[in-house]
Amino acid sequence: MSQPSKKILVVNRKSPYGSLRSREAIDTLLVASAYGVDVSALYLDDGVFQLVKSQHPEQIQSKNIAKMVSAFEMYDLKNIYVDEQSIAYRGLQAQDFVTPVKVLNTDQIKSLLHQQDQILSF
Amino acid sequence: MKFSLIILDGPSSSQSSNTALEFAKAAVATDHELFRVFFASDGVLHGSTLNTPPQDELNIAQAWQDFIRLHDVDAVVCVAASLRRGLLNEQEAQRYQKPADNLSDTMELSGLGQLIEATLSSDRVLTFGN
Repeated sequence: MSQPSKKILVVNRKSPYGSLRSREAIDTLLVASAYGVDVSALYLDDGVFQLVKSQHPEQIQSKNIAKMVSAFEMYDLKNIYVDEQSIAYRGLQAQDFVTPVKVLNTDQIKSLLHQQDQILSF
Repeated sequence: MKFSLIILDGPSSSQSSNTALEFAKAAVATDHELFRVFFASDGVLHGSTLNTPPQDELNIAQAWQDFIRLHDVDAVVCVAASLRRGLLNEQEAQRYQKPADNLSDTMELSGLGQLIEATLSSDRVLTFGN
């Protein structure tokens, strides 16, 4: 593709299981990265549960979302952001996650959103 | 302005794809361009030729297909989402040895690369659905 590079943010708000939205967001991130796009991911609300280390989805016959997230670094997906308030409300901390994340407060999220050319919400 | 739309909800699951269609109609009726409509998730079910709601209700899948045909819109259904939900074109039906195919000829079965390309090529990308 010969389009000029754009900054794309994929916003994840849904819990890892219960719907396919988390999978679709991950697929979109991986494809965007494979296309060489400057892509970032922001995890908000129940979406932060997608990042948690000890997931046991085999008990509900699902594939492990955390395992897919842990492959982000290999795909050169390094800009992974989480909402400080969302993780605090859920009793989580950055070290509970399978991939390195940058924790942002509301003002920082506001400026992250402003920096993007396109935002895709899942 | 060049728009692309992402349709996430199925024809029967919410009002959002109807809102999206009204937006699309308004866009082409004014000076705007629809670069691509990308149907993902349950939204792919708008590509089925078999949706049969009661006759006195809007057939939103058919309405989308009619709109796409009339305006020659570039419309893509996500292939992974489609196969999972039983939406197949002739080629995929043969590949997976299924007894029938049901994808409207107004839409193309393709991958998420088309979504990324649309995102890069459009001035605005609007997501409809939750």
